[in-house]
Amino acid sequence: MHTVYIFLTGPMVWVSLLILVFGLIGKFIYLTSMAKKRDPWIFNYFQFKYAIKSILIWLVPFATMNMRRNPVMTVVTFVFHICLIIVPIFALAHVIMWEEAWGISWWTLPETVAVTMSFLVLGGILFFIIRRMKLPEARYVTRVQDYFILLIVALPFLTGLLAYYQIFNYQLMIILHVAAGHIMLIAIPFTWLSHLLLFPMLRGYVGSEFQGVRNVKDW
Amino acid sequence: MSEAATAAKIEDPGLDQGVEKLTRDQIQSTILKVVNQENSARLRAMVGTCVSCGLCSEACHYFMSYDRNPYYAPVGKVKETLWEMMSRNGMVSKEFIRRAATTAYTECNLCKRCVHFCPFGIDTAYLMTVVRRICHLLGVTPQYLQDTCHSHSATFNQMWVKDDEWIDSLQWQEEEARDEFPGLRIPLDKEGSDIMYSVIAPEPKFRAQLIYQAAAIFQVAGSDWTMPATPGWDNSDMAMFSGDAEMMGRLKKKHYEAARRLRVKKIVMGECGHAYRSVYDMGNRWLGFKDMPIPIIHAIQFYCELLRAGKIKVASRITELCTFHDPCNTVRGMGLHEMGREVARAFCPNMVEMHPNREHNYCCCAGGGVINCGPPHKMTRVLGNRIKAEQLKATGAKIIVAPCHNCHGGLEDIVHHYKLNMKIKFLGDIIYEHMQKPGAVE
Amino acid sequence: MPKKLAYLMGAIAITVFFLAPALYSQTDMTHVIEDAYPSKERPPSVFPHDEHTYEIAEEFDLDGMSDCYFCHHYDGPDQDHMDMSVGIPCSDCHPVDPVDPDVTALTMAYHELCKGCHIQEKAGPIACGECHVR
Ligand code: SF4
Ligand code: SF4
Ligand code: SF4
Repeated sequence: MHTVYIFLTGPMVWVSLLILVFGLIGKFIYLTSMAKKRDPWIFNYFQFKYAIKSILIWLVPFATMNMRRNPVMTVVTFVFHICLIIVPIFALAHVIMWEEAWGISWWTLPETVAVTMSFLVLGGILFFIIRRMKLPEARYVTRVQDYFILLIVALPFLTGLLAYYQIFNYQLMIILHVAAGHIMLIAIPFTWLSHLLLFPMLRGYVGSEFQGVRNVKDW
Repeated sequence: MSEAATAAKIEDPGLDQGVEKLTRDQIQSTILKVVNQENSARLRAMVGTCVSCGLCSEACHYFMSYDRNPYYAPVGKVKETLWEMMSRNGMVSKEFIRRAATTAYTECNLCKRCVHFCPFGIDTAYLMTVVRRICHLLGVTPQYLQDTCHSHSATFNQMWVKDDEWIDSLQWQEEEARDEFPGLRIPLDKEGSDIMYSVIAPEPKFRAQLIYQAAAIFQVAGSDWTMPATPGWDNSDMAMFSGDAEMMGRLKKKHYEAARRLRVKKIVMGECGHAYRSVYDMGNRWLGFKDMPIPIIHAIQFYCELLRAGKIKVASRITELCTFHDPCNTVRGMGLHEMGREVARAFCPNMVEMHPNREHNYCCCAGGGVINCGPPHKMTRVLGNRIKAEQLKATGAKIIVAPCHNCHGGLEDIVHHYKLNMKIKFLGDIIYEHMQKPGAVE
Repeated sequence: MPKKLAYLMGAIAITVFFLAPALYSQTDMTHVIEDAYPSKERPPSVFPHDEHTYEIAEEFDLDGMSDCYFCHHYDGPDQDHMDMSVGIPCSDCHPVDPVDPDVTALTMAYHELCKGCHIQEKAGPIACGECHVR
């Protein structure tokens, strides 16, 4: 227990973060240099203001036509993503561990809020799973890996809650929780979870292309 | 593969005979070449980022019209083509290529409506062009479409119009028009004019009346214009849609060069959507031009400028209820929706919008070379655009204004099949009929 | 010396003798008792005091009550560990939210002390819920 826990909350954090950061940086460099070589016009057309505008608009709930057409999906998606990002960064226990390790600390979520948000993440995933199973157009294109990725995202939150409430074997649960977190971080650069990076990149391109060249909005 | 899609296999010699001679090696090396060498980050990013949420589905008129069959959803089409090709590293069968070609050529109009729906802006139209490119290199292209491409290669126009026939057609229309406007000319090869007017080959071939109308408008507006007597006069580009990028480039070069040779200030294009796409979007990029090497404007812009400048004036108005169809290539391509409406409204005060409209308009289902795939595939697109028929019907309009040739073809078939009893008009039709015509004999 | 006084002194001495250990050993202390937190996010940490004093005495074999210094430290001018903070609430020196950045905050003080030792000794709880048991 001691050794595993200390490894997972110590050196392994570096491993995961480095894989995450360098994976994404590598991906960015790979894609941009490849585009420079074969689709150089992407850079000729790229305009920062349109890229930013496109990214921002697609980050505002109900700002785009398709978001308004799918209100339930829009609400779930936004709540899900906000919770997914906020909870790991601002959960009390996480911040305390940053502080113990690196002496830096920041604002934390009240525990009840963090717990609620974690439930929302799980609820969102449940919604996505059911949607993928029930909605024909989603079901048709859903691959096994899509469920698998949802599972990867769900596990840190599921185990996190179980550990928080100390249900089942706490020691096992906390180790599973930390391990699941690492798996998620490491999976980001290698699966479509990388839309964390690709969302702004693609929107930047599409925004420049549509607003800049085609003279028409892209939302 | 969905049953609905394969149930009625449409026979097309171009596709059927095309796949027969393929070998697995050839398929694989071609796919790998297109996917890994010709295409780049854009393809990888778009295929890799798709979270398969299906949110793009309702963008596609095929999906909406075929009872929400997910096979026709934009992402469904990508799944049926590129996902398989890429995940199997190009190891796909002949039958797969046959099916992929049908999907890419006849079940997607490259209308880019789905780009507006996808949170990541994944451009299924672009992905389908990649598939078409693969099919073109494999020699698996719909026969009718390929025929227009052969024509492009041999004659630099889409309809096998011979050089003398072209000149004959213009002179014939000039003669006709002189009955109405004595002294009217269709200036051929007049170097140093302000404007070179370019059209698509179906105009001299089937709809010469349109050239007459354009000449009348130029005449009334007092424009200094010309049409080239040599190849380059046809601005259409089916090679762009078949996947023959090399030929697309040659065609556009010819078109730009004709304008250069005539030392004109700008090119005005007839009311055609895809030709416009080929000059500002695809052809120019292939040739390495960031923008068009010479200013080119679509007829919508040109008419709008003439109206604003008072060079053409409204004589009479259409009282019937009209609606405006936004051609994908002029709205999602150049944002010309307001200009188009401005011109239409000047003559048709009684306008009703179809919904959705402007940059979110449903495609006519003819574009992207689909109508050019010919009679075998006609019902695919007519049945594939029931949604447009419903949209049109809901307006209650009697006249559809559609400033695009392909749209006319597509809409006519839809209007006929769904018994909508609507007339379809070009802006040029309306302007010609309802503008003041000083100097015309009654 | 009057007899009475001698008895009294004797009684006091006996009382002190018997009470002293009772004063410093916290026989019934099972959890950290800390009133400094305005609100408690987690349940109080499990902390059987005497098990710790016993362990420390066994392991380090320190003299008498200087064992206490191990946790009840009193840093500052006293480098000889003569003064201890026994009886002084931790939060007196380690406020929940210290103004001076050099002062260790209360939570960190506890964590560093408890968890630090547990990690070093490879014994005792180190994950959140192991101490803050529900
Ligand atoms: S909306 Fe975009 S991400 Fe979702 S399935 Fe369609 S293409 Fe993929
Ligand atoms: S037809 Fe239009 S909406 Fe449908 S997939 Fe093709 S580009 Fe997208
Ligand atoms: S024919 Fe018209 S509506 Fe159809 S794809 Fe072309 S521009 Fe779009």
